[in-house]
Amino acid sequence: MSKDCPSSFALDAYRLGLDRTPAAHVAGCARCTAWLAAQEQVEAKVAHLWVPAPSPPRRRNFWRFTRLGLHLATVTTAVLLLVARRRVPTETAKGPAALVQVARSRAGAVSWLSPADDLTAEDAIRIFVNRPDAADRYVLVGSVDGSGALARFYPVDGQGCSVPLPPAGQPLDGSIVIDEAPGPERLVILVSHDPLCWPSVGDAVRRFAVGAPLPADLLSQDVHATKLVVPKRAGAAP
Amino acid sequence: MTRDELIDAYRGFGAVVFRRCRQILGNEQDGRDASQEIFERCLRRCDELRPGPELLAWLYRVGTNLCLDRLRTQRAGLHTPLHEDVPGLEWRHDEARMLDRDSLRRLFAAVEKRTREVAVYLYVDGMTQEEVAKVSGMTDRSVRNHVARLRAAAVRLGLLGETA
Repeated sequence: MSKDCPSSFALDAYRLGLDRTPAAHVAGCARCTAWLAAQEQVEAKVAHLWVPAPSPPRRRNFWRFTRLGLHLATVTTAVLLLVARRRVPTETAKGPAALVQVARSRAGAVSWLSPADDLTAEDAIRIFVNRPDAADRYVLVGSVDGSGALARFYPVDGQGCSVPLPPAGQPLDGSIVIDEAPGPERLVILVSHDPLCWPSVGDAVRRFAVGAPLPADLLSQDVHATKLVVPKRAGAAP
Repeated sequence: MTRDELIDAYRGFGAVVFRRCRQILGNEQDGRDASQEIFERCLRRCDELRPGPELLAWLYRVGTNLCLDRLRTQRAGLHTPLHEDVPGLEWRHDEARMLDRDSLRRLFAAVEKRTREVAVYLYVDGMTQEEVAKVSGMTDRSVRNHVARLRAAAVRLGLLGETA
C-alpha cells in the first residue's frame, strides 16, 4: 500500500460501516480492495475465538451485590469505630494495653493517626498516653526504623530516663519530626511505675520492636509495653 | 453499550483486534490470547463504551498498549511483519519499510512507551498524525513531539538519514 492509501484504522472504519470517506479511494485501489478482502478471512477466523461467559442470573447478582453491600457496611462500621476510638492497633507485652494515641501534623493539617495512615519525612507527631494503671507515672518512647536503628523520642538524651506521664488527655511534651530513615517506624512506648533509663532498656526496646518479648526483669517491674508499627512512605509528604 | 450489543459487534471488531495483536506480537497464539483479554476488558466496561467509531478507537488504543506491555514483559522487540506478503499484514508506512526487524527492535528500545505507541499507529496502522491524535487521545502537538523523538532516535541509531 502506498502512503496515499487510507490507514488501516480508516479502512477498518469503512469496512465496519462507521465511515464511508475512503469509498472513492477503495473503488480505484487494488491494494486496498485486496486488504479489505483479507479482513473478511480474518473475520471468519476469529468468529469463535472469544466466547464470553453467560451472564449470571439476575437473582444471583442481586444476592451477590447484597452480600457485597453487607460486607462493605461491616467494614465501614469497623473503620468508623476505629476512627471514633482514635486509637491505632497496639501490641502489649504485659497487662492491659497502654492506650496510645498519635496525632500527626502533615503540611499544617492535624489528624489522628488511623490504621490506614502512614508517616513520611517532615511529618510531626505528638503522642498521647492514657495511664493504664494508677501507679504508672513514667513513660519512655523510642522508635526502631526499617534499618533497625533506634531513635529515642522521650527522652531524646541517650543517657536519659523516662519522662513523667502528663495528665490524662495531654500529649507528651514536644512534637517529634519524622526523619527520612527507611520505614516502617516501630514505636515502642514503655509505661512504668518507676523511671527506666535508655542505657539499661535500649537493647530491650530495639528487640521488642522487631518481635522479641520483653526481658523478665522489665516484666517484673510491671512495665506496660506498647508497640505501634506505622508504615512509612519514602520522600516528603505531598 | 449493552453486553448483547458488544457480543453482536464482536465479529467485525474481533477481526480488527486479532489482526493487530497478531501483527504486533508476531504470532497467532499470542494474538489470540491478547484479543481475548481485550474483549474481556471490553465486556467489563461495556456500560461506558459506545458502539461505533469510539469503540474502534478504544480497541486500537487498548490493543496497542496491551501488546506493547506484553512485548516489554517478554523483553522482545516489535515483531514486524515486514516479511509478510499477506495483504493487511504488512507495514503500511514507507519509512518503516526502510528498516529491518532488528533495527526496529533497537528503535523501540530507545524510546519511551508513549512514543512506541505513536510508532505503532504510524508504522503498523499507517495513520496520519491527525488520526493518531484522535485514537490515542493525545494533542496534535504531543503527537508531533513523539514523532520528532522517534525520528531523532532513528537518526541517532543510524537507522535513518538526517533528512528522513
